Amino acid sequence: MNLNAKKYFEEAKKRGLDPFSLAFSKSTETSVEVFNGEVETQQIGTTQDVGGRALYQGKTGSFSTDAIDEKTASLMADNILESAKFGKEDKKENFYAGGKKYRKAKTCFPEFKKATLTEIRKAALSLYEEVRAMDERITQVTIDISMVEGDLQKVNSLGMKCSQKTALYSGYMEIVAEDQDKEPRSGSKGFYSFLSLEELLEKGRKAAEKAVHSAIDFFKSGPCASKKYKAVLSPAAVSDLFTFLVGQFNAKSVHKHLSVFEGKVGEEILSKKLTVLHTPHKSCPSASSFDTDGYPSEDFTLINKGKLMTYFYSVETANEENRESNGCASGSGNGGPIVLTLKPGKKTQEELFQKMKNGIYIDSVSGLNSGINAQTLDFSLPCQGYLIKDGKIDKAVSMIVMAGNLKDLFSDILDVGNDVVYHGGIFTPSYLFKSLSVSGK
Amino acid sequence: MKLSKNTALEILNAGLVTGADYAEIYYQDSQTHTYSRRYHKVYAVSGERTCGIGIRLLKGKQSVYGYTSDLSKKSLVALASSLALGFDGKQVFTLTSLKEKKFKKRNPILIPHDAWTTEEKLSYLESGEKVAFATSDKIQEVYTALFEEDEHVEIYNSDGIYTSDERVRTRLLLQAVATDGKQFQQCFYGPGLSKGLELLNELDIKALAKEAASIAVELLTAPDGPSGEMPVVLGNDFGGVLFHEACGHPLEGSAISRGSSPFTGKLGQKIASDVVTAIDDGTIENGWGSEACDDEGEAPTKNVLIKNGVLVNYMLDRYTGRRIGEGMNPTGSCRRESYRYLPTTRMTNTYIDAGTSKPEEIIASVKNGIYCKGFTGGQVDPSTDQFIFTSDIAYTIKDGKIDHMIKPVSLIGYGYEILPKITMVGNDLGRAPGVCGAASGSCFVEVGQPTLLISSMLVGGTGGND
Repeated sequence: MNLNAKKYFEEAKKRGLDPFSLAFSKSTETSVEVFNGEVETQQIGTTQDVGGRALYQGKTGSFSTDAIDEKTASLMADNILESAKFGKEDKKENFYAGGKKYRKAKTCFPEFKKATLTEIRKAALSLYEEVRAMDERITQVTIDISMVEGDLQKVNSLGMKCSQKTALYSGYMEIVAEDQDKEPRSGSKGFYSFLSLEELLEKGRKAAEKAVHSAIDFFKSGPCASKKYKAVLSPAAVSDLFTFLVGQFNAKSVHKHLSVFEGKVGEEILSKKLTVLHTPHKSCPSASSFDTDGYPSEDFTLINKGKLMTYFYSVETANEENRESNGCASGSGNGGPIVLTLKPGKKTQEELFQKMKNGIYIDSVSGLNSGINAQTLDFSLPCQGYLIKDGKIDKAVSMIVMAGNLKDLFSDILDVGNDVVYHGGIFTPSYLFKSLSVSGK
Repeated sequence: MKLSKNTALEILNAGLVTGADYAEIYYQDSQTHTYSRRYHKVYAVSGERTCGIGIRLLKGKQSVYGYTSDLSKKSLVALASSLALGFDGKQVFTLTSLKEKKFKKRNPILIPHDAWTTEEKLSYLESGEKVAFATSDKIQEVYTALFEEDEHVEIYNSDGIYTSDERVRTRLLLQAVATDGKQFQQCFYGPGLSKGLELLNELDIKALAKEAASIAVELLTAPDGPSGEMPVVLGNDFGGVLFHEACGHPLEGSAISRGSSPFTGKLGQKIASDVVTAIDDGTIENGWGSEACDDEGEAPTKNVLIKNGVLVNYMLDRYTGRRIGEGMNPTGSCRRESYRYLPTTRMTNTYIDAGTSKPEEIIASVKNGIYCKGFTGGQVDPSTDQFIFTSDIAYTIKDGKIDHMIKPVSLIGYGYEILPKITMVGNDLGRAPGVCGAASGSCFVEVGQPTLLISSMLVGGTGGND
């Protein structure tokens, strides 16, 4: 890291900005995208960003930029001062003063083996060949492989200081297959490795098998009857839905009477089958040793057997209740989790199907950017999956819409699987739900 | 110009040494400011500057892209040299000079962003907030925000041209949340244009706030929407998100060039009903998606995509055009969120053109269906063309008349199936701004349409149908 932090603090001090908090990040990315065996794009990127936040006469202002030169410190201080004059009312106590120990999040391993652009290109091409050979009905394969290295430092004038390095490979593949009727079906999967390109490829092969199934299983599939079904949701589907529920546990929303879970700590708010843990250090791409306040991230139980144990607190929202933060600041004084783990049960997915006997298995959902309202918790999402008959997969169904309310859904869990998958910042297994409204034909 | 011509020449030539047939530099310096109120007080006043360079090399149907925020000449030449290693060949030409290419300025700015003080901007937002709260005691929260962007871009390429563009955008965001103690409902408005602060003078923030608050309150008692196949009347302006998602994305060169679009190879064929004419028009004065030139230095066009149901053209950039084949020229559609993104074909201001039916005639033609007036957005799977979008202000239609408001519903289908089902097109064309996320990041786009009737589509309301 080559930021002259001292100069930033000097310029802030000159303008009466106190406390002053500085975040500096640097990242490099090398990536290759292969489409149908052709290297379409090769990419190299290096960026650095610096962001500052400060208090001035009881109000905060902030400014960030990636244009870093000898004038940036002065420019940043001027901009923060200008925005703070009319900014959000704030106080010194809302800046974390440091003092607590940081537990290392596993996002950078000494064994991490860097690769060159040429090696990444070869890896992407070889994975393409393997995927293409998996099924003759595959018509399109897109493979995207990236190597990302990042370095983030946070420091403030009260004594907070923390840093974190990240180094990982990430991959994404999309497969399109067509049957004899030329009806396209697609499947996609993401995968990552904190160790090496070789491990990424191994994970990519496994991901490919699932992506290919997600495509070819749905040939000639169509909608099922519109009605309420018992339903097993895959880990990815559960994660996609649960992500929209977490905003309700943000302490700021609670304080502003915008949460359906206001005043419910200690009460059973969702199904007894649901236990949710905050596990910010667990090795995954979103793990972090600290939150956006620079406060050490903490392990805690959010929901224990359906009972709400706490909310997500930043330093600011914790001060509003005269308690300590739990390391869940996510910007602008709001709170949110870093990594969640939905505690698994004992049954395999097949055993969940057997318990359900007849119903529907939702493999994937889409339309998340408009089909769920995080405030009302109502959802109406296109999805695809399989009808389950006598405990076994009967037939694939698609062009269906599942609809309901997230609070209602997670209040009626019949059982929990043991097939934990990391997806979108959440480790979760499959869940068996009592009732899901599905629209089809 | 921020980059000297000599420096640009050196960078471009460093990129050409291994046989690239095209090299391009994209310089961006963007300043954004956001002013917002929430919880009855100022929520944030913040600024951000994004400044960096993206270098793109093309060789046949391959591309190499690099980006950096280190603007030193040494760093930029080194980046171009590293990118050149992505190709294996010998230099085919050397660039010796650059000539300026000038474009018509399409977005006159009457009141620049620095003409109002921060206090005046926050006071403007507060005036809307107060009206929203005063509308009903059921209003629990009001969020108002002003977004401003002042962006300078420069483009240099191995065709020997350089150019620049100043892009100014202003957007008002307003959201009201209502509660009855058991549930929350909300309504959002977000008008924006490539204008300065004159936009705020043209808008009636108090009327918008009152309407948003009223709708949020009304939604508290609205029943769940129906589900299943039924006729759907889509309201004008942001209703155009249907065409954007279902047909616009599959008509972008990126989907066409990969052969993954259902419209690949269908130029000249009938793909929609006779009443459908659709246009991507980057030339609209002050349009939210309008720019003097696109991100590879091409002039925007009024690109008729579908005329009376027949597919007439695609949206193309230089790269996707050459992937499709000869004669596929750029349509001024090359866009990106920032220098950190490889640019590709993106929509600008895309709409279904006005027809002849009156909106009330369209509603009167439906016996049982729904009328979707407001929308929150949507998305499409480009490989299958399956789309979803959500209407947050919707009503049932019974015997040709609007009956009652319903809670938000999703609309789902395949773009290629919906186009032939558009049976009536209104005469009330309207456009609305949005932010479209795709391969080259989030781009500012307008969507638009008149009121129109889709004879049958899948509706996914939370009420089910049993």
